[in-house]
Amino acid sequence: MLNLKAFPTCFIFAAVFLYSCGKIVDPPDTDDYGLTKIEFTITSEYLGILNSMVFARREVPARVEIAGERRKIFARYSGQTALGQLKKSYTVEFADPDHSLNAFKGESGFRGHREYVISAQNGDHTKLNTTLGFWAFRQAGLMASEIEPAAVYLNGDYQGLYYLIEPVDEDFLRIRQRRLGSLYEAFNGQFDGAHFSFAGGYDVRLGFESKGEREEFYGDLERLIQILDASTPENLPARIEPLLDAENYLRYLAVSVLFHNWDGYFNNFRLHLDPQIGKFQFIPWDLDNLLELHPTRSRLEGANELSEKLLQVPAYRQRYKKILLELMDEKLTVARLDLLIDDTAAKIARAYAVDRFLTAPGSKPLVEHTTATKRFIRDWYAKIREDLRKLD
Amino acid sequence: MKRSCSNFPAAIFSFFIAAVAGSQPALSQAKTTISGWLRTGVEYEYNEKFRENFYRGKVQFNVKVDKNLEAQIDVRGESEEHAMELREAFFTAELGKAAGLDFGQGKKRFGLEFQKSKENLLTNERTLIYQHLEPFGFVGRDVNIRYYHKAKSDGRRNGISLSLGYSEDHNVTAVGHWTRLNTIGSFALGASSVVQVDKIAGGSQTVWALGAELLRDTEKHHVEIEAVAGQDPFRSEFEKSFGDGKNVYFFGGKILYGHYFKKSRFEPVFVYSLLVPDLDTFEVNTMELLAGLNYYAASALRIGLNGDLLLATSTKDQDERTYAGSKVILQVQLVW
Repeated sequence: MLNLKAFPTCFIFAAVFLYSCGKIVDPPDTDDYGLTKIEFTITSEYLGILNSMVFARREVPARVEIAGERRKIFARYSGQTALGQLKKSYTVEFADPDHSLNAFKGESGFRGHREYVISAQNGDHTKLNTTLGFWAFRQAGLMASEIEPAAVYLNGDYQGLYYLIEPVDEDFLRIRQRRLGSLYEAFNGQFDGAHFSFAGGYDVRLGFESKGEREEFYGDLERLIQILDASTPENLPARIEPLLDAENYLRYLAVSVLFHNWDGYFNNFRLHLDPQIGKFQFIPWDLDNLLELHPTRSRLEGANELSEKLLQVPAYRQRYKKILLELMDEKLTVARLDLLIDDTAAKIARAYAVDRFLTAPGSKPLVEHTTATKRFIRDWYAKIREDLRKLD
Repeated sequence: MKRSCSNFPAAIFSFFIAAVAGSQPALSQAKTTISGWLRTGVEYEYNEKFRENFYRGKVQFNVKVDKNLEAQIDVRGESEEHAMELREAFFTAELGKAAGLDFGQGKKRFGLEFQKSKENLLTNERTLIYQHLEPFGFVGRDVNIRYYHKAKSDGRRNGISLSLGYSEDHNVTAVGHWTRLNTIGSFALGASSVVQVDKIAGGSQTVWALGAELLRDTEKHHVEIEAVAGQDPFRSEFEKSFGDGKNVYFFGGKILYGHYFKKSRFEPVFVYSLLVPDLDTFEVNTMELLAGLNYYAASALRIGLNGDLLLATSTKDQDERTYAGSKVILQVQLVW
C-alpha cells in the first residue's frame, strides 16, 4: 500500500517532467567542421581523477568516437608543456583486446597503432606549422609521423582544433618495415635538454628517455657521444659513420634550419638505432614551435653539439650545403609551400574560427597567419641563400 | 601511463606502516576487518550504440593498530580497467568523544553526497551537481589531513569536518563541512565550503564553492535538499588567460526524496536537480529528473533501477531541451 505522504513529491516530479517533455528535442549532431571528428566520453569521476593527477599522466578508461568508429580506450593527458595548460593534449591507448591484437599484426588498431596522439599543439597559434613541418621532413626523406587536423569534443563540448599525430613507437617502425631497436626521446630536462657532449659532466638520462627494446639502456647513445667528444674533424667520418646515419642527420638539420625548428635541437626529436641498419637515425617530433626567430638558434648552422661537430668536417659541410639548395629548389620550393599553406588553411578554417583559444580577444585571424607565414618563409629562404654563399 | 593511484600516497602509507610497525610490537596482533561491495549491472545511455554491462568491486581493509589508531585501505577495480587500484589509504587517530584525525589519501568531503560512501547513496550514481563538481577537484580524493567530530542524535548535535589536502596537480584544497541535527524540526541543517588554490598556466588562482543542505534521514523517509554555488575553475582560468579576467560562477540545486516500504522492501527514489554552469547565462542549464526504485532482497543486497533524464539547453538554443547524457542503469549491489 503506497504511503500517501509520497504523493506530493511524486506529483511535483511528474509535473516538472511533463512540463519539460513538451520542449524536448533530439540533441543535434556535433559539427565536424570538415575534419575528422573525435568525441571523447569520460565519466565525471574519471575526469576528476585525470585532472587531479595531470603530471603523473594518469590513465583512465574512456570512450572515443573517432572517424565514426566508437572505441574503448585509456586516455591520459600528454605533452611536455600542454600538461600545465588549459587546452590539454591526449594520448589514447586502444583498449579493445581484439583491436590491439589486430594492431600488433598490422591489420587494425587505429591506423595500425595501439596508441595515438591527439595534440593541441599549443605552441602554434597558426595551426599551420604541424602540417608544414612533418610534410617537409617527409619530403627530405626522413621518417615522419602521419598527421591530420581534427575537431575534438569532450563530453559533447567542443574543445577546439587539434592534430591527430602518429606516435613514434614500435608500431610506427613496424608500419615502415622497421624493427624497434634503441629509441631515445629527447626532452627538456636539466642541462637545458638533450646534448651530444659529456662536457660539464652531462648525463644522458637528463635529456634522453630510453623507450627502446632494452629498458633503461643508454649504452649505444653514450658510445655515440664518446666518439663525438673524442674525434677530430679529420677522423670523425670514419669513426662516427658506423654508428650514425650522417646523411639522415644532415637532412634533419637542413629542414630544421629552413623551418626554424629551434625546439628540435635539444628537445623533441627521436633517435632510433635501427637493428637492421645498425645506425642511429633522427625522427622529428612535436613541431608546433616552427617558423619563429630564436635569438641563438635561427642560423644556418642550426644548434647542438652534433651539428657543430659534423659541420666542422668539410665533406659534411659541402653535403649539407647541397641538401639545403636541393630542398629549396626542388622539394620545398616556396611555390609548393604556398600551396600547402593555402590548402591547410582552407581545410582548418571552420574549426579554427570556433576554437575559443584561437579566437580569443587579441588573437590574429587565420588569414593573417597565412600571409605572415608565407612572407616569413620567403624572407628566410633569401637569408639562407645569402648565407650559403659564405659557407665554403 | 599509470592505472593505479600515484605512488606518492602509497609511499607515504608505506612509510607510516613501517613507522607504526617499528613502534608497535603488537602490530602483528592488529585486528583487521574486511568490508566492501560488489556491483554489477547494465547501463544504457541515450544515443549510444551499445548498452554496456559492468561490474565493480571494492575491498576495504580496516586495521585496528591499537585502541586509538586505525589504518584503512580501500582497493577497487572495475570491468573498464581490468585492474585493481589503491583508491584510499589513510590513518585515523581517535581523539575520543566521536572525534578523530585522518591522514592519508582520502575523500574531499564537500556536500552531502561526499559525506558518505557511494554504496550508501540511494541512487546508483552520484547526482548531477556532484558530477559537475568532480572534474573541478572540489570533491574526489587527495592526500589530506582531516579533523572531525561527528554529530550524534543522543549527544552533541553539531558535527564538523575540516581538511587540508594536496593533489598531484599541485592544487591545495581546504574543505569544511558542518552539520547540526534536528535544527528545523527533524531536519538536520548543514553547510559545506571548499577553497582551492589551483596551479594554472603562468601562476595560480584561488577558487571556491559553498553549499547548504537540509537532511532528514529516518527509517522510512530520506530527504535531501541541497544548494551549491561557486567558481568554475576552468571557465575562470580561461577568462583570466584569454578573456576579460572575470570569474565564472555556477549554481546547483537538488531535491531528493526516498521512501522505504518496510513490508515490501521497495524504495522509490526521486531526484530533481538543476545545474546552471554560468550564472551570467542562467537560461543555459541542465535539469535532472531521476526516478529510481530500489529493492532490498536482503539487508546487504540491493537491486536498483534508475532512469536518469538529463534535459539541457545550450548556448545555441535556450528554448528547447535535449536529452543527451540521459541514461538507465539497472544494478545489483552486495555490501559486506
